[in-house]
Amino acid sequence: MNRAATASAFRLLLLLFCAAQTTHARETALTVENAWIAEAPPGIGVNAGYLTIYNRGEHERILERVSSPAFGRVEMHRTLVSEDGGSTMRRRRTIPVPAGDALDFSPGGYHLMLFENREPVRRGDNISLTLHFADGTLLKTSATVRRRGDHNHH
Amino acid sequence: MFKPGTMKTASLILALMGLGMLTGLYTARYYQPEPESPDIEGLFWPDPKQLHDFSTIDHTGRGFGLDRLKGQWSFLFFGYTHCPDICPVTLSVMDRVQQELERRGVDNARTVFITVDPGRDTTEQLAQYVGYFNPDFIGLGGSEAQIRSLTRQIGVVSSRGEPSKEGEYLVDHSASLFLIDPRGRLISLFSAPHKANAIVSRFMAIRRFLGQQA
Repeated sequence: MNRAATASAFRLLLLLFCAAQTTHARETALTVENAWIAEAPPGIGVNAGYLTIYNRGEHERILERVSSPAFGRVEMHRTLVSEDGGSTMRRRRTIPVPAGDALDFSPGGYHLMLFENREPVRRGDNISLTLHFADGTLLKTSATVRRRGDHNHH
Repeated sequence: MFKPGTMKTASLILALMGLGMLTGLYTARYYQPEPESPDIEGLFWPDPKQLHDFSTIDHTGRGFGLDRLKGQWSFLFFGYTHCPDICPVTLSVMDRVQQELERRGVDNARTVFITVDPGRDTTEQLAQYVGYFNPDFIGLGGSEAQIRSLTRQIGVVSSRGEPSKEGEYLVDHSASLFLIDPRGRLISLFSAPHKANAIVSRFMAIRRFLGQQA
């Protein structure tokens, strides 16, 4: 192997290494934490889901939809309480996650609506959720089914 | 030298002054000004609304009217069992409130959930729903007219959304909690977001204040 070939091989390795680093950085810029699903009260076939998305990157990310193999349909909703105390539910088609910020899906605010469960949803189950972003990024997480009030999530 | 007339006037003035002092003393000792509205958020004072009779059906199938509210403190919450977020959130907060009140020795306060969706919320559905959150919770339903006999008095309005192709619909409704005192008066409103600690401490303050008024 001559010197030039060694140098270019080295350069190639360096390039690959840098590319890997960049990919890694892009992946960890967007994370999802504390995903949980509220056990549905008896007689109710719809579950609510909550989680927090962190965007440590430099660009806003748009959450377009959430899917789960355990549910036929997942919608994104927001509870709004007006000044006179009236509450209303709004379906959201997309939700932006600003750069350097977090988006909280939490009780009384944004929440996932999980319809058409394929299996009975029981307390303690771990259910896989996939978050789909407008730039094509997919983020997978696992949500534990809990009874509301059985934890100190705020 | 004093003229008799001057003496008369002086005595009268002295007598009046004495009377004034006595009145002042009496006032200071026995007169307490009408208590002003205390600094308690959401309190309807000094004119809490006295509820009149209404006729709903509880989750056991018994009639539930004004007499069932008397003698106890009641937290009223209006919602529906298919409500995805705010209703279960509020009822689980109220479960914590009830536990904390019990711990503090309050045994005459309870939570009443009134459906604004009688089409889907049958007596059976209400029973299993409220019982899931707390076995002592009371669920109220009945016909649209029966429910209105209560909601109208509290000033709670609700409106049903358009059903989806799956036939599901959402209902907009009040997110507030309404406190009824043991005399059946609407005494306070608690606005969302609801926090158990805040509800407990405000309830204790209201109970203390009303105890002083009795």
